[in-house]
Amino acid sequence: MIAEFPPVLIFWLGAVLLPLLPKNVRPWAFLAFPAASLALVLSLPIGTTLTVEFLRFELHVLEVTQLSRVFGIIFSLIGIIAGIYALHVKQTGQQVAALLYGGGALCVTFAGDYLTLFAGWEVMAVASGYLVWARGTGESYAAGIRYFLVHLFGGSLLLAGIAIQVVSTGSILLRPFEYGESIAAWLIIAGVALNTALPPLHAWLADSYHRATITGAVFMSALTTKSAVYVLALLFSGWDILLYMGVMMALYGVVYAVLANDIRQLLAYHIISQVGYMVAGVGIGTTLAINGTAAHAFSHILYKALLFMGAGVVLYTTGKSKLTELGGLYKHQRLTYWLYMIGAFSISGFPLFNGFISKSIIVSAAGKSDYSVAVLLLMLASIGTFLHTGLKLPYWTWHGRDSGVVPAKAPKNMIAAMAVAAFFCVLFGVYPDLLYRQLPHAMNYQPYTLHHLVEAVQLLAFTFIAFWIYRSSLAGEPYVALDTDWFYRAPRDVARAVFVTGVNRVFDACETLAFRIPGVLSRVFTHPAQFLRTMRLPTRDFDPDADRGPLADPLALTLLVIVLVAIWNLWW
Amino acid sequence: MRRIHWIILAVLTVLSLVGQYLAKHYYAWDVIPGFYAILGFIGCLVIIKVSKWFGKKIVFRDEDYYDR
Repeated sequence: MIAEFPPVLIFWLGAVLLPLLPKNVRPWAFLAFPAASLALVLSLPIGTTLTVEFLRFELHVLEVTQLSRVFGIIFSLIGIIAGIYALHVKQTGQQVAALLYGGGALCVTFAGDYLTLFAGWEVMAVASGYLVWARGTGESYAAGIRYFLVHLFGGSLLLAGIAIQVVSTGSILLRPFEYGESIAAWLIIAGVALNTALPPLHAWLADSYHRATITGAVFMSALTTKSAVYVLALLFSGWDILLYMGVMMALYGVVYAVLANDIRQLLAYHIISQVGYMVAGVGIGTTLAINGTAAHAFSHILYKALLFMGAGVVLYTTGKSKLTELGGLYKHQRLTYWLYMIGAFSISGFPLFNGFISKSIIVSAAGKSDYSVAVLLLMLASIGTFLHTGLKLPYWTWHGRDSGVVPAKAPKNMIAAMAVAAFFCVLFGVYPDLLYRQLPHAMNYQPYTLHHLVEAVQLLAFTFIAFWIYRSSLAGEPYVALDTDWFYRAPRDVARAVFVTGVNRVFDACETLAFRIPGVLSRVFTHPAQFLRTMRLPTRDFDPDADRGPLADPLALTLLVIVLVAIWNLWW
Repeated sequence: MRRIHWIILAVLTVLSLVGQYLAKHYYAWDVIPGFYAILGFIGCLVIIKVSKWFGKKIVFRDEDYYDR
């Protein structure tokens, strides 16, 4: 029975229990929940299913497949690592939000039906939005609002698709879609694509991640986009359009990473680029490509979290995150620098690091399916990855010109968490079979071929040489680069005029009118007779002595009526 | 960058050229010696130049652009 327990509930149980514990044990207690979840995921046999009756539906709240298992393992593992990184954080709100968020990702990962999936999806959106707000600056407040609104929009697309799908097929179960089979499929893919940060639906990511809390951004870098990649791989495998979109994404992120000045925003743009590989893998859709997508998501979560942790240490210890304000930190932060560089070597696909063993699967899968142009463009994106994450960011943060900034000492737990992530980056790079065994499909793939090594060495060496020659032109520049969020941020004044100022005016007018009506009526009833005669507001109050008519007339009238009625009765 | 680093890079490049000659060819472009080195260098230049042009001509704004 214990074997059929959904891992999400461990996280959500943690979110309930954590605030009940003494405040100083909470950060440590936090670690217990992802650790328990990891143990549970590893022990769940493939094919385990748990169904629960809800309303008229039979929910499949737990469905363990080879694909969901590999995502479940990494989501739990990164929960532990990010938890270690956040051991010094005392805000319970952030800890609870992180547990809800991680639970949401696991809920999506192990969902067998649309309703369970949607529940996890929305919990993730709310909890991660809180992690943006928790930074507590005015900028992060505004970014958090935008984050909520965009995800609300994405969630609505998804829900609309789910509603049509459930009504038209009568089934709430997740099953793969044929290419373009229905309007429901297009709505669902649009909702999911928003969470994978597929341009033009990506701006929320680069708008919010660098404004989130230092520790929150580590969770965010791991969970939202990758859980969406999982759903894409599950439902939309082999959709051609995803190959083209994925390659476009991989390059889009690279271009904007050149322009980014904030180090965490640069890394955020590189998430888009990296997720592009995974989306392309889903688009190719062969078993090798799906393996590549799963493996790359797994590797990516580890090294991207490591990179975000490194940038987080810089922000924590210096209070600065812009390349234009940083430089020359190496002599103060050797260990942080080298741990960061392990992440950078991994993402850039250096042999013996985990990016090499996963990215190459996707590129090989594209080659095997004869998408030669895609192969070249993905290599170009690789060059860009090394250029920014591996060269531009570390060079202008830790080397370059000396900014004179002296960083404070980083908490030991932050460095320890980086070391753990770095360990896994190297472990899977050196022993790729540890990861390959967990992949959804059996494959006979060898990453360390002479051809792959030649390719990696030449690409990386000459990217470095070109960078070294042009490094000065890659220094940070104090500008913001407009992105598609411009379309909903720039019309702010118009939107405010229509939705806030305009609506307020109408309400104000109604309110003024509402208060005037009783005022006028009370004036009218001070002297209704005069009002009825003149149809103007009375000039003075009713005065019985002056205004009441002589009593004789009405008396005579009454008498007359009585007489008439009497006659009538007597006569007839 | 000290001289030793450049020497290591040069040695790696030479080794990779030899390796390319020996390795099985997967793609049409594998017959061009040093193809990936050329791609790496040119690609890097293209990324820098195109992105910077794109930034300067189209999307760069002052940092307080959205706050005004």
